Amino acid sequence: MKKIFIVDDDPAMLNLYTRTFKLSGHDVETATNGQEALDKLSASEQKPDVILLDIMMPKLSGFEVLENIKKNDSLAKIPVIALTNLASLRSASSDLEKIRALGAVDVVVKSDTDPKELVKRVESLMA
Amino acid sequence: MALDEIQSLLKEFDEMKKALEEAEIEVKEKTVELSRSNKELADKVGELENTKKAVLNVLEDLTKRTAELRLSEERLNLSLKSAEMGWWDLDLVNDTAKRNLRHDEIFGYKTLQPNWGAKIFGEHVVPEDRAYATHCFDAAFKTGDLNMQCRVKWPDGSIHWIDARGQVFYEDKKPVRMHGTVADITPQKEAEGKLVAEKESVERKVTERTRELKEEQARLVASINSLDFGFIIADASHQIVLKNKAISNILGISDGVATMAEIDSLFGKSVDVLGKSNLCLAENLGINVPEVIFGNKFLRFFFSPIVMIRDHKEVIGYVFLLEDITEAKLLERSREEFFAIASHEMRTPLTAIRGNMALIKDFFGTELKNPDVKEMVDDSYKASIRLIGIVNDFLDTSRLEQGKLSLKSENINLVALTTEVVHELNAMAESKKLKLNFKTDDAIQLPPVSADRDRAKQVIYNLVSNAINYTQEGGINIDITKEGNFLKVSVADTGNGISPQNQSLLFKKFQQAGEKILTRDVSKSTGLGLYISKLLVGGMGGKIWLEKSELGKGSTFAFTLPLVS
Repeated sequence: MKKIFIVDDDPAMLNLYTRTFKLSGHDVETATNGQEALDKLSASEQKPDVILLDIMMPKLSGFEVLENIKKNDSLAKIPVIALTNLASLRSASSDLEKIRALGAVDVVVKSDTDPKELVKRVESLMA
Repeated sequence: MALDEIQSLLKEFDEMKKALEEAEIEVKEKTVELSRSNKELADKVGELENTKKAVLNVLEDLTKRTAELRLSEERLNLSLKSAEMGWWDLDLVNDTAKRNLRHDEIFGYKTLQPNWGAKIFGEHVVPEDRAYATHCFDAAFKTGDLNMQCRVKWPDGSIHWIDARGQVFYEDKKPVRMHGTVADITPQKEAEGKLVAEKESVERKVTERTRELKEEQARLVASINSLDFGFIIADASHQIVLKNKAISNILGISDGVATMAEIDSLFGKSVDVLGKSNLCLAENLGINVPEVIFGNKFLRFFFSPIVMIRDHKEVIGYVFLLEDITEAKLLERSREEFFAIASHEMRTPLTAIRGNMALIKDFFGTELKNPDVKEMVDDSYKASIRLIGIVNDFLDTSRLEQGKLSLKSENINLVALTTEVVHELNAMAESKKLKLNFKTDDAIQLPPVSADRDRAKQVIYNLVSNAINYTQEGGINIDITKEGNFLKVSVADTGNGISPQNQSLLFKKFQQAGEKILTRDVSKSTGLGLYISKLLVGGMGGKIWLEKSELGKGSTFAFTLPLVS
């Protein structure tokens, strides 16, 4: 069983993604803010196979969390998929570039992506 | 002979001699007398001759004078006639007047009238001038001279101006006679009237213009003082001609600042005020400096040349406008933040709704046995997708309209980009059993275009997805051709087509608002897609248009993007 680590400050979204991956047969661990995510990830015995990281969060943003993950040797190799509503066809592609430059393997525009599609993309990374 | 006889004879002789002597004396006397008489007579004749001569002289003189008088009268008449003047001789005692024909003509008669006098004259004067005429006569009796200009009414009713001049003769210090001339001065008066009117009109115009200028000046001064942005008029040598209060407030300078060099020094190296103004003067060009940081303020500068209207080349100075855009800047930032936050805040719950609906459809299909519930879930899912699209379109529109969306200039392979879109939308077309044809001639290498990759893709995506949405059967043909310095992408569908009256509504904001004016499915779009595409294509230097459309046969949309130069 693969483990997915999901970080999102919005409870409804966190719920949605948790349910999606559990229904798809995966193990899920969650965090509701950047700091909690870093703490849990560092403390975690069994590191996740994929991290889903929301970018726009208060206090510690997804950018900063991503930077920290990439600095942490035990976490740096875990593929990170950035979740965003900012970067899309319709917003500044500089954000997209920034996310990719920080080491995210994929950027998912939450509002344009159905859960099943997201599962497909995550599973393709773990294959 | 007897002595006696002799005696007698002697006596006789003596007597005779005596008689003779007496006769001689008498003759002598008589002769003297006669000669005296003769002389007297001669004298008398001489006298008479003299008298006659004198009389003749007098007569001759008289004739001559009469002739002279006639001559001078003729001359007078001639000169009067040549001056178109009439003459008159008024007997003040009997109130009768002699005058020439011209005199009566001046009063509107063709022939000399039987009667004339001061009273009759008075009746010809127009009522308004009668008091004046009486006054002129009274004055003439006192001074001896008549000088009068008044209006008279002719028998035909027309009004004429006359000029009467005359001299008064007195007997026992009483005026008894007056003679003089009269002239018709109507043309002069009319000309004079015109002249006066013209003069008045010119004076009025001058007064009006002066007033207008003063008003204009007052308006200008009041206007520039009421402006909340700084306003300076400077001459070509950068001397300040006029400045308003706002400039002092914004820059915190004293009223004594008199040159642009002093303004320039306030900004140090951050902006070259004199350099910009010199450019404005030299090139006769408006120059905008959109953002200048001054202390804790954001300012905007604008330099506008002042050109003489007569000679379009002569730049006599410039207007320097300075706007404090600090507030606007702050507002803009908060608006940008608002849209960023709104985009996140609105889309997050919508995404949760969409995701959960999709989750129900995908994982709980067996729970949806009730077709009503299934339909409700399907509708909610579709509605959530549409709502997300609307939010996206709104955000795009506001960003584009504010010029917030910066478009990049990238070298793009338009064929590859279009192929990408075709792949992404193939499933959508297939679900409606439509053929998506994108024919590219490999033999022709199309050059790259200069555009923003993501935005160009958005435009193609919009046109192709529209075509799929509004086509029930047939297919969509996509074609790319080179046209001059542009590549043209055309998207032809076999849909319902757009009626001519609705074609004018395309590319407008909310083209579908209100009624279902386009025979298109309103549930599939916000009506902002083409509007956004138009703003995007325009921003990238191209054009977008409806190439053709026929009801029942389909529509062809096209847009261009510029080749990399």
